[in-house]
Amino acid sequence: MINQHCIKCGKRLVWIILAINLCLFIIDLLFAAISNSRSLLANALQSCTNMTLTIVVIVSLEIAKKRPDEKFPFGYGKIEFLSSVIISALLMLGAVFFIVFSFREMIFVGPEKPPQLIAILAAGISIVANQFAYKYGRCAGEKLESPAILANAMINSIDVISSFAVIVGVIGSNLGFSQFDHIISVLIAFVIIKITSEEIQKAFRGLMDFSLHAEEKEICALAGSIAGVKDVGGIKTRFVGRRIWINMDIAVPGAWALGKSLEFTDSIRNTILDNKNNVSGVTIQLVPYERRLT
Amino acid sequence: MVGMNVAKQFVVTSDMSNRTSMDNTATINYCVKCTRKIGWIGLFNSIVLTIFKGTVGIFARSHGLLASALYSVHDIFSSIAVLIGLKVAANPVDKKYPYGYGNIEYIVSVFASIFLLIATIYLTYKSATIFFSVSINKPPHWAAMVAGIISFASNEMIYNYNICSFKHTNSPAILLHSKHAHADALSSLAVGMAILGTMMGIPYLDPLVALFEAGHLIYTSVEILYHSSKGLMDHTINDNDVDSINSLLSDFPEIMEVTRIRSRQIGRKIWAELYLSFPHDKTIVELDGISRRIKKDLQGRMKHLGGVEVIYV
Repeated sequence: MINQHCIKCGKRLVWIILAINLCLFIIDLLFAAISNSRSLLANALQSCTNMTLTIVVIVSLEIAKKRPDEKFPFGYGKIEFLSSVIISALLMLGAVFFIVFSFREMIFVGPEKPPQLIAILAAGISIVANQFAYKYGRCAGEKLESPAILANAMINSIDVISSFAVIVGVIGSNLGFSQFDHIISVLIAFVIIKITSEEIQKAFRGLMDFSLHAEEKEICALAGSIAGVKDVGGIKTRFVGRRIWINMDIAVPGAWALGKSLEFTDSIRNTILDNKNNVSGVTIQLVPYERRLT
Repeated sequence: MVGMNVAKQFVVTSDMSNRTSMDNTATINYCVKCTRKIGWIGLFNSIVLTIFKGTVGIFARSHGLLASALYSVHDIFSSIAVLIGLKVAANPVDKKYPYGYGNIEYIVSVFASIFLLIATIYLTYKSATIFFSVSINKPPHWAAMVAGIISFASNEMIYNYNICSFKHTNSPAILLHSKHAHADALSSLAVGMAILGTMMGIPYLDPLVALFEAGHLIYTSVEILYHSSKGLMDHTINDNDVDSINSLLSDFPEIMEVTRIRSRQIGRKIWAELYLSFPHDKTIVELDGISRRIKKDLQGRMKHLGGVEVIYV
């Protein structure tokens, strides 16, 4: 079973990664201003992206705890997808503007002095901190079997690579390839576009009520195994934030009285809720077996 | 060219008002066709107006008219949103998307309004610099005023056309587009007035109108963002629809109590779960007959019903 220590560690993880990204954002920004390195500025933007996306998750998980009410009868879970789409779109626009301005500077301003070598120090700090965050995140993600944490760790590992690229860019510029720093910064901005577009894709599926095929099969099998269930049909699943909502039709003999059938649906609902820990709600529609299920 | 466009719009709108009084099915067919056309007509209108207002704005030295041209640029984007939204949202329910593709319209609206917000903030910044820095020695030419009035008339036609279509299709993207057209119409009228003012001796009126228009654009886009966010968050359907469901359910004496109606809006479609309590000795076959009748009646009465489930309590 999952170690108690690992669960605690997983809870702390979000805050530690947030702190690391905040520190890196400030350090990178500061050193970028001092050393006049464009690629380090792009790296700061990347840390900012990671930080903002983490904050979005923390805040929306907090809002999602609210119980369903009159206005939002399915709960507040979808706030996570919505805020993720909006924030990612803004970050992506930021990266696009960054690329546009970089090109404008490259073409119209031309090569200036190369960035100062002190930028390498900031990139070095960034490599070490992100490598730590990546190892930590992978450990927690694998132990807790959480794809969300693993995906986050991947973002940190990408940050390690772009920090290496910053070092290459700064040294290259100083060796006489004057535009090298700019080119690396554009590449990093493209990485930010890739990360945010993946975020948008994920959230897009949630907002569109994409069906969860594997879950559907599992739930069908689970409900079908209960004694008395004649047939399961019309199953629909969708994500409401981290949890899933299930709509399904259950066939029972048509001669059953309503009282008996209701007890039966309660037992089905409880079986599903007991066996699956990520279910937010189950809506069961009763259908007489005599009417064929589609 | 714009004059021709206006004339064409007018024919379409007046024709439509005759049609609405005809029998229901003919109207619905007509509306489907009309809605299909609406995106293209709006797009054409906005492109023509952007070029028209942009060139006149530059030659007649009117900042207000240039800002108004940006309204039309926004309209171009929203027309494209309408076209994408309608094309994808019309797809039938399938395995991958068991609740249909309706939410695409909300998502497109969210992206469009974010873009609108950013562009407008930039426009505000630009107008403010014009307002505070440039010395206004020459007032705009009177041609800008004529352009403003022509553009007002043209957009007002598009607005009425869109609102009619929205009433019959319930599409959020069309509502968004109609709001754009309305905003565009009002902005053009304001520019016309402002230039009249500058000709009468109030020189700062033109950039002032530009600033005011930017403020209004921000308001519109925040409103659209709010509306579509609510939809994406599975907000419950509006009270009118709940009332009509309730009134229909009251026609069924077998229902002991309507315990709860859980509903959400998916794009232009309504999805509802009705929790109805029945006597516990009724059999499932009997109840199934009632629930099928309820579903059929609802389908007949509510045009935008996506799906309904009856849950016995």
